[in-house]
Order: sequence, then structure tokens, then C-alpha cells
Amino acid sequence: MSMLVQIGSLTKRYVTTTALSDVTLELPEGHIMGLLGPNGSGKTTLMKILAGLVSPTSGSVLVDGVAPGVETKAVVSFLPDVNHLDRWMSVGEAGDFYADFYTDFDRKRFEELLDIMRLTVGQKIGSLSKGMVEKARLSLVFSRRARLYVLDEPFGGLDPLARSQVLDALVANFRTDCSMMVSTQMIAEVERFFDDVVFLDSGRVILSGEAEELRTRRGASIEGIYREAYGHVETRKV
Amino acid sequence: MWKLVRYELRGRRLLYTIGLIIMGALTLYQATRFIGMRENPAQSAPVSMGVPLTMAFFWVLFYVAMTVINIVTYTQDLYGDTGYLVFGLPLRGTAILGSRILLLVVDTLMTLLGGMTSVIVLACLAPGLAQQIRPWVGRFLLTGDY
Amino acid sequence: MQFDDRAPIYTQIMDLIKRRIAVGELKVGQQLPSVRDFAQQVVVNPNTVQKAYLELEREGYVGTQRGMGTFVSGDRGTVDLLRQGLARDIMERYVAGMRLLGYGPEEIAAMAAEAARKETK
Repeated sequence: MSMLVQIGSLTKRYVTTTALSDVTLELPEGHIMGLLGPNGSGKTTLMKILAGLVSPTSGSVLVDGVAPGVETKAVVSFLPDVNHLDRWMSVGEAGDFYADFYTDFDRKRFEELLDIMRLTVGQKIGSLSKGMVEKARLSLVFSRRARLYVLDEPFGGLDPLARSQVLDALVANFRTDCSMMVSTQMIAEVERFFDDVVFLDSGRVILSGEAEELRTRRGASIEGIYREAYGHVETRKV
Repeated sequence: MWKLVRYELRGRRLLYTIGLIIMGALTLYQATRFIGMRENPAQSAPVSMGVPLTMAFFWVLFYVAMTVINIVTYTQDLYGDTGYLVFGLPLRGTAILGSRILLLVVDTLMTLLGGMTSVIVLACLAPGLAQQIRPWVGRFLLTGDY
Repeated sequence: MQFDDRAPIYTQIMDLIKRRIAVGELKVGQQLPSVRDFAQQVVVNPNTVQKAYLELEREGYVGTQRGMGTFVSGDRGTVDLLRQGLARDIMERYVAGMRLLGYGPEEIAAMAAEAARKETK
């Protein structure tokens, strides 16, 4: 099994803070990885580095054997946690934009996803509700046949129905020649999709491993392990 | 890079339209002040260097506004949350910078052409104005006096 | 589909499939849904389904033919054995629970017989 993402001793320092400190992780091809941790733990910074939007201070980052740059951007489909689309654009125009710049954009899949999400090409991004914008952005990101999907809080702002739609799309989209890295706060609902999990705290990796193996070893759910790891008392009913 | 320029321009459609409408309105307003000049000199507003200077001033303002927007947008994109779309594209950083420089060129051309157009429109709507202004412009260019 | 996230999901998928075989929902020789289809039905990571299928194959309940799919192996006899095995698991849990409540063997058997009679009515 080849490693799609290889990160070694990655550190990212800003003037006043250190966002990431000595992070090492590997994401095999065909796997879905959950990137977990509280706000400010470095998840977004890590994802931005993989997306080629931020450069590391030190350490190595390889996406499909290549350091992040123009080449990797063509194979990495990134979903930021904030709306990245211009409000004056319509859904269809956003699709055209993606199609224009990304050779791996699949128009047919885009139309299918829009159908599932109940969106139309004519709607302007600025006129959509928060949840609908999320669904539009997800549709764009998933319509690319990328090697690596990096999703930063893809479920934020979605009602339960939309969440299941997205999860269904995630499973339907699954291919063995690509990988996904997903950060989320809704661990309980999503943990069954993770092959691997990485827990971040203040820029450091405090725990990582295969989800099923952690469940066996700890006799707990990933959410339970999370609560334990970050100092919360386990409150789930037995 | 050219693809990006095309998109940037399309995104600025509204900005350009508003800007040019304002400039057009200003030009016409200026024209109305001098429109009856030939027939009834007493009716028109006083002619001085103020006329071309006002026009020039507003065109420069237009140019500055567009350039400031250009630079601020680029800086915000670079350091803030708004650049995800553009900076996530498989384009070299130089290509993205290049597209913004091209926008600057477009703004320059637009300002120059717009300025010339407004002068021509003014001249057509207020015939005689050009003759009245010429001595003032001549004096300004030679002595800097207005 | 609901799963207990505190235990490995692939074992729960295996149990689900074993139950279906024992009950006859999946007949011997019948093809299992493809990994992808099953993952979409149950809404779970396809890799987990794949792992479950592989383990079931290792335990002998299913067999995979390259390019054709995964099929239920065995015969009437093995299915009966499976059924009995699952029944024993349920009974052990039942008995353990009843003993915790303080019931003795005779009472446990009697209550079970009565409950079963009521059920079939």
C-alpha cells in the first residue's frame, strides 16, 4: 500500500505562535483519515499546508511523493472551513471556473451532485443559505477526480439530513486510488468512516492509529477516546 | 494566467460599470454648465482652468480607487481568508501576481481612454468651450499658473 | 444502520452477515453485495466492509472468486451449526443476565419456556 501523504517532523511557526510542532503522519492510498482536535490545535494549518496555501517552517511534506506546489494543487481538492467562493458567482459559474482551471473536474458528476443536494446552476452564491453554500462547495470539491481530498469541517452548518447526504456522497465517492483527510467536531456521527485517526493538541500529535485497532485496544469509541485524551470525563451511558 | 485575468475582469464588471456611469454623469454635468455657451455667453458658468482640472481630478480619483481595490484585494487574498479560491489553483505565484499587474494595465488603459472620451464628449456638447479653455490651458502649461 | 462505535465495526458487520446466513436471508451459494454497495447500504467506510469480508472468508463463511464476487460458502449443515452457535451466544447472555438478577437454573428454564410460548402465540 503506497503512502499518499507523508509528513515528517513538520513545524509551522508564525511570529507570535507555533501552529504545528514536529508533526509526523502518513496517509495510505485508499484511506480516509480523521484529523481531530479542539479549535486551535493546528488542524486547519496542517490542511492548508497540504493544499499548498501555507509553506512549512521546517520538516517534510510529500503529497504523492511531491512537495506541495503547483503540481500537487492539480491533484489535491481542498474544502476550506470558510466559504471560498465569490458571492457574485452563480453555482454554474463556479462549476465553470473549476472546470476551466482543474483538468480533473467532472461536469457530469457535478450535475449529479447538485441534483442530490437540490441546487440549481442559476442560483447566486450570495443568495444561498449557509447550509446550501456548504453543499455547493462540497459538490465542487467532490466533482474533481483528485488524488487527495482535504476537507476542513465539511459538516459545519449542515442539518442532519444534509449531513447524511454528504456522508452518502462520501461513501459513493470512495475510490481506492484516492485518499481523504477530514477534520470534524462531529466525531460520533462520522467516526465509522475513518480508517485512521490523528489527534492534534496545540500543534502536536498526541495520538494516532487505525480506528478499528484503537477501538479494540481501548474498548471505546473514537469519541470516547477523544474525551479521554483531552481531559474530559467519559459520560456515555454503558 | 490569461484565464484568471478574464475571470478577474468579469468579477469587476459591476465596479467598472458603476465607475464609468459616475464618470459619464460627471462629464455630462460639466457639459450642461457650458452647453449654451456659443449662443448666450452670459448663461454659461465661468470658464477657467478649473474645468479641465476638475475633470482630471475625478479621472485620477477613479484610477486611484481601482488601483487601491486591486492592491487591497490581492493583499487580503494573500494574508487573509479570501484567497482560497485563487491561491488554491494550480498556478504559479508569479502567474497570479502577473494577472493583477495586467489588471493594473487594463485600469490604466481604461482611465486614459475614458479621460479622452470625456474630453471629446465635452467638446461636442459644449462647442466653443474648447476655444475658451485653450488660452487657460496654454498659460497653465507654460507657467503653472491657474 | 446503527453500530456500536465502542467496538470494532468490522466485527459487527461480520455478525450481521452471519445472522443473515443463519436466518436464511443469505442462502448458501448466494452472492453478497459488492463491498461498495454494502458500504452504501450500511453507510460505513468500504475498507471496513472489505475487512469484514476478508475475515469471514478466513473463518470459512464466505468465499471470494476473483472477478466474480463474494459468495456464501458451506451447506445446510454448516448453516445449522452457525445458527446453533449464534443461539448459544444469545442464551449465554440471557442466562448470565438472569443469574445476575438472582434466578436459579430451574426458574431460568421455566421463564424462558413460558416466554417462548407467549412469543409463538
